[in-house]
Amino acid sequence: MTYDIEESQDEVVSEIAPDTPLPKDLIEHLESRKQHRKDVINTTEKLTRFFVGWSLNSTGFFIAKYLLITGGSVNLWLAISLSFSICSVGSLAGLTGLRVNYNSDGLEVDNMQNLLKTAGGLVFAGITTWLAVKDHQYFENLTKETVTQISQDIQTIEKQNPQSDPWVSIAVALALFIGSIAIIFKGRE
Amino acid sequence: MKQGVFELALAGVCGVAAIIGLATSQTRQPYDLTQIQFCPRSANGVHSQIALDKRFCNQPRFVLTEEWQRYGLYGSIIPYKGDAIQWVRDLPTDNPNQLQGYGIAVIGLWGVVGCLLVRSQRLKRTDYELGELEKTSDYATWQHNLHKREVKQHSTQLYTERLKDGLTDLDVHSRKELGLTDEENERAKARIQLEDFMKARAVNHSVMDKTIAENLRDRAKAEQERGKIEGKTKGAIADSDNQQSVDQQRANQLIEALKAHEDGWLWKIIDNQKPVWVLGEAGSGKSTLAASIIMLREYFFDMPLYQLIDAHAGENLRNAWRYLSPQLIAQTESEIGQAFDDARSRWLDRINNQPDKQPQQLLVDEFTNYSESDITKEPAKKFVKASLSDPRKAEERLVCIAHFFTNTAVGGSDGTAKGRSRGTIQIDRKTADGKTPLQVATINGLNNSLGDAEVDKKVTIPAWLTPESIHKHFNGQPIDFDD
Repeated sequence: MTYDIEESQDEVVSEIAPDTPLPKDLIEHLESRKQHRKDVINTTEKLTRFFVGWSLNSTGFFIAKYLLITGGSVNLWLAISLSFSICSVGSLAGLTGLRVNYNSDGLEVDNMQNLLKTAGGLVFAGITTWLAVKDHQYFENLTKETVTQISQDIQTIEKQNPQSDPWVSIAVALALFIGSIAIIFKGRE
Repeated sequence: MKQGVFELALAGVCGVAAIIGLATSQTRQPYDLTQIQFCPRSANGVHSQIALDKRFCNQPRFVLTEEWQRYGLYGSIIPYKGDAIQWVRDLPTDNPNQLQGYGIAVIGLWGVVGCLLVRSQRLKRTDYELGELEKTSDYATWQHNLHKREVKQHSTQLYTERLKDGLTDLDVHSRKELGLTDEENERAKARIQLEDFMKARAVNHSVMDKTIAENLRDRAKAEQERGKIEGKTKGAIADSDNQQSVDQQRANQLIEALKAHEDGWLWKIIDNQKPVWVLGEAGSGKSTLAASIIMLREYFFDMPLYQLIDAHAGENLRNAWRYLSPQLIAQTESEIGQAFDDARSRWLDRINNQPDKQPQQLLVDEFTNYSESDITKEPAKKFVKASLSDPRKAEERLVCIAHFFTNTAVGGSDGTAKGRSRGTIQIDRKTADGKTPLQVATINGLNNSLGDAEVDKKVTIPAWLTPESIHKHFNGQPIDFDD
């Protein structure tokens, strides 16, 4: 006969001693629900950030389009600057947390990834701005091309009789001059 | 839940609106165009004009409408050729609603953002509230089950003990069956265990007894040492009590003799709180009488002589005052002046700050001299003035010795002569030859039974009233009052 029962009994006691008000599986379930809630919140926040970026870009795009359609090429640079500024808001806000310091050990940069994100955002803002103005630039180039063609046609017409026009005038003027002189001197005789 | 669905539905609607807006904003020609033609006029007849038109006029040319509208105006890039450049037709944008489409797309996207923000905030708030609720309910459950857990834990422990006992019995039973033990052996084991238990108990008791004995021993030691420190053994205490009773008896005898002398004026003076001024010429016995009064008050009232102010203290203490033992002595002029000031401060301190003060005495000799010295004059003057009221309240009896009781002799305290004569008792002693004091004396300031201060009352001083006789009286040689 042994006394192994003592050890097993100790285990029974130790299972009861902790102040656990709920079963373990229920606790695990509650923990998983809690984690799920946190995941949902994180996902929602990520989605929100994503849509904020898109909204800002679309706003910049819309403003540029509105200015170009309603005002034409007069508003070109205003449209470009406004569009780029608005599209850059999200990128510049992402610079929060960036710290740059220069000391004896050299350059120190904290949160370098924010700088890269911002650079990417600025490139994206540039692309959006280009998309907003490219159609207008196309039709403006078309207009310039038409104007160039007309100018070339005018030059072509004028080159077909390049000397006649001035010499006719000179000849008429000369004839009038000689005629008037002749009349003057004929009267004296 | 409904709110969540609503948020998602609204976000979906906004998203669809954004997509529709984006779709409706699509166009191949977003800007208005105008078709123009360049038709120069020929000056050489119809054939030439036909050739020009064929070459230049029939070509399609397109410009932005806004540019055509500037034709002929400042800023136009189209060269002005008058009617040679002509409007053919307008080509408006193929999607006049593109701006509305873009607007809808933008608003839709911001709508999605708004919905997501609201949802995110709501989810965070819900998560926080759920967490708080969980904590609250958990704590409530924990509290609710606390008692149950304790009971269960205790019962488990009891069960464990019982199980152990049961298993031990089972073990014993098994061992019996196997022949490893029997009843007698078990009884012997039980008896041994009981004996062990009893012995352990006895050991515990003996330890406790030992502690008690040590404590009692320490207490006895402490009491013995305290007795040694206090210097009072039982025998000494008994002797002291005996001596005390003898002294009391002698004191009573002396008091009776003082009360019986003439009309008891001596006892009245000793028992009086007024300052006593002993006056007289040199050799009239002033110091003897003053020392006697001081000693009697010491014996009768346990009133020690606190301070002696006397320029001749050294000589006096060797002769007339050898039985006096003052605690402080002021002998030089500066000491005497300081002693007068100290006395006044002390009286005020004892009056104001010492409710349970021990009565004491002050003796001042040769007062006449102090009113003449520059150092002691002012302190003496203030001392006399204060002595009329303060010593009584300060429980300090004052005896002063002077040659005369004039203003100048007693410190030059002007304006207080009347108060001084009523507020003090003056005993004026006499001498016939300047060496031997006479028995007769004159008393002023001692109140009679009617409360009036007697003036120039003639009295006699008993021969036994000397410091030596009084000392002997209390040290084994009682005074024979009959002599």
